[in-house]
Amino acid sequence: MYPNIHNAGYWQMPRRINAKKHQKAFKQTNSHKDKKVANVKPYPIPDLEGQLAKEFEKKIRESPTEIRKKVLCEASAVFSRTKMRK
Amino acid sequence: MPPTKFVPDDFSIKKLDEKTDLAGFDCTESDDLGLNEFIHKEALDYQREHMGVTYLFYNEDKIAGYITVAMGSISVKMTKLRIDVFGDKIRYPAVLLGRLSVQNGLRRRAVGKCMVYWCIGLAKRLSEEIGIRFVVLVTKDESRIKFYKECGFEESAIHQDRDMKMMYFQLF
Repeated sequence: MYPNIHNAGYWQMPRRINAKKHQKAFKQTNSHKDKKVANVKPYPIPDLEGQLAKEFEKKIRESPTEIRKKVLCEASAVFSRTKMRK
Repeated sequence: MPPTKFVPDDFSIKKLDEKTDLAGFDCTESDDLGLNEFIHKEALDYQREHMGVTYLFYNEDKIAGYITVAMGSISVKMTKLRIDVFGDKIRYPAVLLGRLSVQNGLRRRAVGKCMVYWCIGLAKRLSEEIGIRFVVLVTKDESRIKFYKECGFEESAIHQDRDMKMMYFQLF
């Protein structure tokens, strides 16, 4: 029997029995999920791992950057200062 | 001596209507997007059909430039903003800066910047009444992209068209 999505638990049985026989820790693998498409991010992510990657994620999710805040402030001023023509 | 830059106080704004005299307005210089033809031939139709409203920026009695705005939206995947509650199946509501052009002789004098800022200010004001999260636009050409980046816009990582680049400004 070949492993597929329908017999994911069943085909691991021999491995489970083998592990028991040889007193080894049985580590279940979810091979049927391995083919899942990688979660592709729409924005470029630098080659970071672990904590650095988390920090980068947090940074890019942060709401208004300084530039944006400045632009927003100026934009509001421009909008209120500009007169409508009669 | 470089020409003086305009400031917001130099402009007064008027919504395009049938009586507007566009005879003196010409923005044909490096006009590969057909913006001169749009203002002279199509803008009024867009307005009649409620597809876009055109605002003219007057410096004294001459038209210095115009912008056309409409409502739009942007796919979550095109932006860096993720709101966990909504996931990525939705689209963010946005104001679309559809057209922007400046009179030939007045380029590089901050007319465009004033108009973009005015549009962002408009979007911010409107966001008190309706849901708006972004100001978006579609453009091409590196110089235009650079200009919008200077105005605080970001380039989307995903583009539907190879030539046309989507850019967005996140209001909140």
